[in-house]
Amino acid sequence: MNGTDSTEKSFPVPSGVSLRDLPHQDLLRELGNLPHEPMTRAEWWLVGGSIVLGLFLLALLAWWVRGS
Amino acid sequence: MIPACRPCHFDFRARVAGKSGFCKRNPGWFPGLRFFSSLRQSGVVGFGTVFRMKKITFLTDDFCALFLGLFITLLALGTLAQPGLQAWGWAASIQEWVNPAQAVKPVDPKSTVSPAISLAGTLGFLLAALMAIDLARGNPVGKNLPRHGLVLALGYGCFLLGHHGLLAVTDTRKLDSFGLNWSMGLTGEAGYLLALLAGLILGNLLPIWANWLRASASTELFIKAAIILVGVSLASKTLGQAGRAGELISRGLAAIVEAYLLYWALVYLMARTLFKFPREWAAPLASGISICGVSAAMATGSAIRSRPGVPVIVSSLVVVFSTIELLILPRFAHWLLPNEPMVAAAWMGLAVKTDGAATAAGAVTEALYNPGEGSLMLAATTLIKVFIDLFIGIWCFVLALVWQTAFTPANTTSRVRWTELFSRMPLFLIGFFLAFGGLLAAGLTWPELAKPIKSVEAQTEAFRKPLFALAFFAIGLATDFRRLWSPGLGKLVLVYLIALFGFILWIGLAISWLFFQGVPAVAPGGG
Repeated sequence: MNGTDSTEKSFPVPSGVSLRDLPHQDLLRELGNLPHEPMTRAEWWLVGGSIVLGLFLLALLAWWVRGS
Repeated sequence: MIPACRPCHFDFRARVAGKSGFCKRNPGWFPGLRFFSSLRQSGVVGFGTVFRMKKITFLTDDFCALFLGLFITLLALGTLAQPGLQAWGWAASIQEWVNPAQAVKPVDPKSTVSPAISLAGTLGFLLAALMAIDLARGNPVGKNLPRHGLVLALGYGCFLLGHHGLLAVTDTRKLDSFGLNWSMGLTGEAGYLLALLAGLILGNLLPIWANWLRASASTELFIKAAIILVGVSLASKTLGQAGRAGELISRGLAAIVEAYLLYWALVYLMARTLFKFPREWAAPLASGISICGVSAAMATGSAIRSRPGVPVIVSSLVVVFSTIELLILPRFAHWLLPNEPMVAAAWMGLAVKTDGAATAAGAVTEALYNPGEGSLMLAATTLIKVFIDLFIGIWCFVLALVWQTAFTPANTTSRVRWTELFSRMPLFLIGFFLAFGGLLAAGLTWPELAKPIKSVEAQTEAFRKPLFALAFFAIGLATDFRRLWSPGLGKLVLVYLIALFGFILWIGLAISWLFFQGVPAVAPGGG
């Protein structure tokens, strides 16, 4: 992504600009006909691993807070 | 032939004003910085032009909010060095009123400044701050002056009006003294709702005026500066309530786990499998819905190298939905959880996306419960949101690594840099943690500072509350409900609705209940 360094500095959302003003009508039209990409193994690992880790950490935190 | 700017797809030849490099459409926006660098190298523009653009690009709303919030806090800290000295003692503190003459008084009761001068001085300072930001950015100060003035007048005016007795009074004795039989009992925070409604009416019914005002109504600037000042308030309140800081911090940690590991994964899975979004759309959408709206969607888009328009479209949707949540959720929480104020406050921090709307929802929820002096409700909502923001950089670094490893062609030369861990972290968080951590540490180390710290809080409150009101006004102004009906957005709206009402709200409620059930908003003997 050229000229991009960080969050809002990359492409800050200009305040006061309506969606209709932005040159993204092609992207909006694309929403009605998106290319299909099956989930890959890496994505399944990312999603599954996040959920398992998240549940484990939450249980740990809850035990620590409620137990103390 | 000069190519179109890739980051924003604008045709630079049509939009560059002379050699200034300013994007004519959005003067504060400098897309295609590397494009200009290449122009400099080819001799088309001078080094000074590129340097000026780099310098002004650094002055984002985030940075300016950090500077403004810390400036106000640092001046207020003079009280710690010399008790009795209140640098902001002249600033206006708004009171509940029926007679307009009762509405304003200086923060320092011993100040001899008249209420009119106090009010004028407070508004003058805010106006000067906005003008100074314009000057630093190279924006036309004189041209923006009427716009800044009108935004301040409308936002602060709504805040003042919201303190009228019929809206704000909760104490029956005060009702009697005002000669009133009834009041809505919303406390002074009714001013926030008035500011939001004023912004919504202007933004949706008077688009020409709204478009003109929006350049001065920066939600990000107002809310982030206010959040830094919330850090002062949080430190002051938790000093008198031992152990509460620990409770809040643990809830903040849980919020990080929920938002990044649970919500993000579930929304991404739903977007990819149920709605068949490709990765480029699913990742920013997951971040926008589950983490923090605009910031997270933008950062994720950058991390996975999506087309710039994708996170912008997602962000605009999140802004509209966050405002709808702000209007509905606090009242719903109050109805559902009449005796659990801290559960409700924590719930707002998880359920409402965007910093502005979440903090605003926390303020409205606190007003509805009205727990009294020393309440930690708003602090809880803010701290949870701040903790979530803290990890945007880390999460986007992880996503960038995963995308580079798993989805980027092997011959691509761009690499993920470790500096991205920090470059994406919102700067205002530094101010919040400095204010909160510094004052808390000072108060715990020297207990005799507890009273002067309360005075610091009172001084910063004179600006924190109006900044909130201005943020509410800006949120309303920026919300265009017609966006929901833009062709092509139907699928995104559906994902948002199903994610929010399907699991985000209920998981957030369950975990808030787990951590805060039975916890009072004000500790017994605290405040």
